[in-house]
Amino acid sequence: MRRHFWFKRPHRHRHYFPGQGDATYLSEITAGEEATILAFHGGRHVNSRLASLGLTPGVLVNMTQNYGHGPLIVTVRGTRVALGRGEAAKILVERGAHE
Amino acid sequence: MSERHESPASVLPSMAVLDADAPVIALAGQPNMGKSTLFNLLTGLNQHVGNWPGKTVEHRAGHFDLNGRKARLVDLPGTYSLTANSPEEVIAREFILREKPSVVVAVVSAATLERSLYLVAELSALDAPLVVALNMMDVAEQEGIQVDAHVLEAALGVPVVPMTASRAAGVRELLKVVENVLNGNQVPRPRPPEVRADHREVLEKIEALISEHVPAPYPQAWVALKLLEGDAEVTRMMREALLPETWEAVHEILRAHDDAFLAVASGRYEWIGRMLRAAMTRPKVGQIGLTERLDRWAAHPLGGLFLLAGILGLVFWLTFTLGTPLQDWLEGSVIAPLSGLVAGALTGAPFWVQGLVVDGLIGGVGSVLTFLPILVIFFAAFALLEDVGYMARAAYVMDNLMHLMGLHGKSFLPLFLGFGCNVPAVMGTRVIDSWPARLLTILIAPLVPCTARMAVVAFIAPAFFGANAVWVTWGMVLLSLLALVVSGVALNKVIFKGQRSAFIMEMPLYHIPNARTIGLLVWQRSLAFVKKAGTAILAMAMLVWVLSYLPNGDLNTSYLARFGQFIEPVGRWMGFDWRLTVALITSFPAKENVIATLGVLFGSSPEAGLTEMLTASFSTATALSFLVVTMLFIPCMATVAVMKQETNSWGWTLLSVGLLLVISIAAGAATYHLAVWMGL
Repeated sequence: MRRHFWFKRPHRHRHYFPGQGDATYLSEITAGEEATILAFHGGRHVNSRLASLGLTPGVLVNMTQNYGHGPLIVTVRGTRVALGRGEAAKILVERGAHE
Repeated sequence: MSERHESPASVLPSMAVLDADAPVIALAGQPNMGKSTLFNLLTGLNQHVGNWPGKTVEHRAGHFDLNGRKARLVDLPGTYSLTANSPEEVIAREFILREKPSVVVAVVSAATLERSLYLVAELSALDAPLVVALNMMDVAEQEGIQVDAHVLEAALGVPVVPMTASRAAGVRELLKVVENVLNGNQVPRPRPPEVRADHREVLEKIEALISEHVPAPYPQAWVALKLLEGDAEVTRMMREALLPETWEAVHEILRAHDDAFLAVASGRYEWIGRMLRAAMTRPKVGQIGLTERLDRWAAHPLGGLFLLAGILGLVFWLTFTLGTPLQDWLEGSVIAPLSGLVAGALTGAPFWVQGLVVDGLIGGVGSVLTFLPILVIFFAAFALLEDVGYMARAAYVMDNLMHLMGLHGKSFLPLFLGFGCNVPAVMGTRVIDSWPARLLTILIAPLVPCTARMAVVAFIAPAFFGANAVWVTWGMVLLSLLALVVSGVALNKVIFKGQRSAFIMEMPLYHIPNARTIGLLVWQRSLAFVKKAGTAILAMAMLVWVLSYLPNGDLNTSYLARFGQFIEPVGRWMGFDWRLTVALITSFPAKENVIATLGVLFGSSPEAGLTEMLTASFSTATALSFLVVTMLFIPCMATVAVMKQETNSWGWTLLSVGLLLVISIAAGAATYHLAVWMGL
């Protein structure tokens, strides 16, 4: 469903990943995988809280636990952060380390 | 809905009154940095817990001996940043800016240095004399992380003291540095981070526009930065302080850069990155630490739930196997002889004095206080789980289930506390960061069966159901929890239109619990309960006694009995007579009053044949319905009082009371008629 929404509006985030479609949402990253945060689609209030816990664009996160349903745990800047699936589905990421 | 939520302070911190000339030291830090451990270590029992004025945020202050000189220590709320996301953050920064503490000690963790320096980045922009306490050196070492305090000190421009508060290591060195800063022998010169390069020009523009118009005591550069970050409080303040056309110009810039807070946050992390590259070495990623190994079980979606159920079972088992005999002992060997003693001493006094003191005071308040051992055990177990770091895991695995009610995992923690007593449960909702979620949790918290209600069930169930009493008891607990989930889902749909707050929570590293921290937590929570028993519950117990005594000293014709007879028709729906109805009403001052009231109404002590008299007077159907109503009935007086205090609204409080009244009567009537139909 998220993917669908994504394909319908391909221009909105084009500048983040020129030429290739490796961008996805944090909720889609499997445990053990790394991803780089590109952008937030949540409200400003949530984004500000995420930033204070270390989640900012450009940072590399490691998915510590993700069972495909329910909340998940990411490790970012040496801290484990639990996120609701809804919150993780609003964080746009690119698989692997940036550049 | 906004996070702002004003409430009158129940206890005003006596800041200015107490030793006005003693220097004020403020402790700042993110959650899970060992800030409370350091606070407890320094102040011990010389501390005072209350609320910040006008807020339902805990205020802790105390005094300690700073190398022969008395100093006051203020524990600022633990916050991840100083942006106005919650009342805690506003309190922390307002205190630093307005009260101007002599020294601000920022507690950071060497084990999670990158994130914990984020608050230091914010603090260093506040022009406060800053000292960094580099705590949890032991945990860092365990994880293979090395931090060079001297290099960090040079990079930050403020004193950095390595320490391990849980072992009291490094505290003397910290106090020495604090003293040096107080005496002016050491002057912190923080070098605050800059905003990311692409937003510097914008920031300068804003600063130029607002200059000369920033209200005291706010630093101009800081206000400009907070405007760029979109801080709600600072934005509101400047909209009022600026001329309309100036504000329009500022607003125009801010609108064009509504993602600027990310540039500000990134600027801070770049600053932190520079510090860390110089001062920290860490092992290659991939090393599996203790926390990760434990979390494979504790945070597993299924295994974690089993573990949680096991831990809960153990806590209840401990509470009741250790606590119940202690309670019985208090009841039989302390309260009862005391009543006898006092009654003997008061033989010369008028009859009503004797009744008021013996039945009202000792009988009412005494029976509430006998729950203290059970609560102490429960509080201790809870504090231990909290201190070890397990509670975050419990919240995490419960997140899915709590979603049913539009809540998230964090709401589980106060509800769990409710099994001990609903009063700390309502106060414990302060951990929930969004106001709608917190309000909903407060509204449904009274449906968690507390120990007092379980005591009533434990008395009545065996009398009527014999060997099946265990199943009836479990059935009552499950029924309460079912009612909790159903009302949660319904309230969420009707009142909150299904909106849900974000679940974002740090999972702290597990660590060895600190006995002092746990001890103080148990002490403070127990003290709060005793205080409540000595005030609100005392008043109500007296009132009930007076109503049962007036006008002529006979209970059966007293005002209380008349009132019971007046509303008996409602009781009839549930199969009650006037005595059961009155017993139910007296559960309002304290749930366990039900047994005492029945004892008085049937003219016998609970020990001498009350169970026989009950089984002879009532059918099984009535007993079952009475248990159901007792479980679901309106919250006790103490709970109602804290609900009013925490919601700051009689409307919400009465909504919860009314809801429970309707649910309990409906469930009781349904149970009664179903049981009669089944031939019980």
